[in-house]
Amino acid sequence: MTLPPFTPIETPRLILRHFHDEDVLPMLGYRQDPAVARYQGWNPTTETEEDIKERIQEMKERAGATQGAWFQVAVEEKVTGLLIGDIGLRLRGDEARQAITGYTFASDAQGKGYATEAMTALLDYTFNTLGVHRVMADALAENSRSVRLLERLGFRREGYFRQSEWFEGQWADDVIYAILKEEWDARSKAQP
Amino acid sequence: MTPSPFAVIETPRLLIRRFEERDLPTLHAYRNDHEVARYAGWHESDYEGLIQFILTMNRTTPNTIGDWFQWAVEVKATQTHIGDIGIHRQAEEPKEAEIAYTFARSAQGQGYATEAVHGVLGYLFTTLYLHRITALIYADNARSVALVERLGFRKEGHFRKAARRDGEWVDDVMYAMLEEEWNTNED
Repeated sequence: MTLPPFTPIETPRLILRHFHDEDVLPMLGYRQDPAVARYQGWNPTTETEEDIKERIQEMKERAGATQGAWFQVAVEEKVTGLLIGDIGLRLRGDEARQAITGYTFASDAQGKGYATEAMTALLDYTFNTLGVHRVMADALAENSRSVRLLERLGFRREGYFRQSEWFEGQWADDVIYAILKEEWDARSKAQP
Repeated sequence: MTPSPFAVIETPRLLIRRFEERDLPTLHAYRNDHEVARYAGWHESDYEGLIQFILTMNRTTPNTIGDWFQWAVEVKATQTHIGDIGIHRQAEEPKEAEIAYTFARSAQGQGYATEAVHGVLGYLFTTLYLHRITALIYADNARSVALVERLGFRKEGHFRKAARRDGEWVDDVMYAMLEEEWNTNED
């Protein structure tokens, strides 16, 4: 299955684009922020410039989404030109029409509706350009900011996994959310 | 190649052991029974593929993280191979495993599946000290859902149109059991 290369997407206040070398320091900045890293899979105290360089290099070599691997795009605030976060998706290797999504935003970019704006554009792209049928997301149950974002975007809660993740020295619960193409379409029609 | 050493799981009526070449006819028969195959994650398979499968299972060390490992289930009294049970552990959560099973139709309705899965759960929780076991099942597979509920699994999710089967999208249900729940049930 051939997937199209990613081309930048513009929203009223943001640009979703490929990563540049200039993104290394701002990305390192928010990945080292304990408040941002809290619910993520990395350790903010051991994150280095080298790690980020490598990660960005990897993303630069990827023209677009591929099956079985994460594809991440940079989110830039238009008015300032600053990198404020990254969002991505991974198409399932065995079933190309399903994807999982994830997102990270810098602390000072939060609370402005940027995540919703960026994710809406990414979901449009995932459903309408990549032809995905179903997008899933998971979050730690106590990560209320992430849960609210998913619900605002129209994701339905499909699962609650008890003690399914080892987090900060104890077992924590995960919530599983999903949205189908038909649900996204119905929403897009209702709120153009 | 000599299979790596491995503890067989024994239950009152069953032996849960590595696959052997002599299982090929029975394995082939139930894997090509559409009534059985339609609820399974694999597809109908030919002898060639199944020989490879048996060889692969004999090379796989049980509990290797990242790989499915499948046991053959045999009725002790008749030495008949009746099905298989597999486990899959992922690197991100090594204390968790997914479980899956298939039984020949002729072996169904006699409590063998319940007995075999119960035996494997005992091994996973009390020998491997796993924390959490999950099972992902087609929502319309009532027999399998009844089996995990009988064993004390809790339903944790219902995934809409999450799997592709015979050209259409169908729902999956997710069940789980924690070590503490296993211990409570067994007391």
